[in-house]
Amino acid sequence: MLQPIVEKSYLVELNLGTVVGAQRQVNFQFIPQLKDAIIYGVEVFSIAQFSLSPNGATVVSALGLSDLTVTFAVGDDQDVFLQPCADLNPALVGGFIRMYNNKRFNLTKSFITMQGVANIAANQAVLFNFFYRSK
Amino acid sequence: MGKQVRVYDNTYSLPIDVTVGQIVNSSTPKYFTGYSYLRGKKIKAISIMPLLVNAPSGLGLMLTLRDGKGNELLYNYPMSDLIVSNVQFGSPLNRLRLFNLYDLDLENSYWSQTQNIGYGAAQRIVIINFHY
Repeated sequence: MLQPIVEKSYLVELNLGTVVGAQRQVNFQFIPQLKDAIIYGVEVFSIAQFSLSPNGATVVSALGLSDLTVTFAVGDDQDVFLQPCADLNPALVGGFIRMYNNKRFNLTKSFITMQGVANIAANQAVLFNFFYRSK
Repeated sequence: MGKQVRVYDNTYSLPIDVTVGQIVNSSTPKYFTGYSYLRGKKIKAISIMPLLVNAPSGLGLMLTLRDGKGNELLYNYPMSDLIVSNVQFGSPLNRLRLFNLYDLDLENSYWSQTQNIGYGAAQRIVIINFHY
């Protein structure tokens, strides 16, 4: 399977916040480096790859990723809708990086959704690694 | 599409060592000062060889690489995502990560980690292999 040849990457931390609940959504923050960037791959990491997030939060477990989906918007359109976060974790999919067709994700309109809360907890972090090239 | 084959002419390996009694603070970037050898080279792949059990994931090791103009090429790239097979410790992914990193400036690049490190003995925690 073809895998990306990475030119640039940026690690983004998304905190679940102080309250977790079914169908609750958490939006991405504005990341200047990724504004208008062309994104061709995304990874998600669990505590198995990162014991602690860069901001000092506990990272969601591999099981916790199965409670989460991610929706990526391009402009106002939700081009990637409710993709399971577990599917973006290379350790769970044979080491592969999931690839996208050169998307300009609008991160502030993109979000994760808590589909369940069995394996996640408040203030845990989800780590996304975006592979991109500048415009 | 299909199998990707990349040919490397050289590999440059960079060890990360912690000296006796040294506390390495998680909030401080550790620059690769003195490592100018790769300047201007095009890096085609990077792999990590962990030398302590679960060092990359347990310590939250990350790599930030910049080019000669100061642009960030990789920002906080998790080293645990760069572990390949045939290593002593860690969870090998069996997928070598491929890059096109132009004009790498190692002296302006750094590694960092999310957990403080403190050992009673000198330790070599990982070796970073740059294939170019």
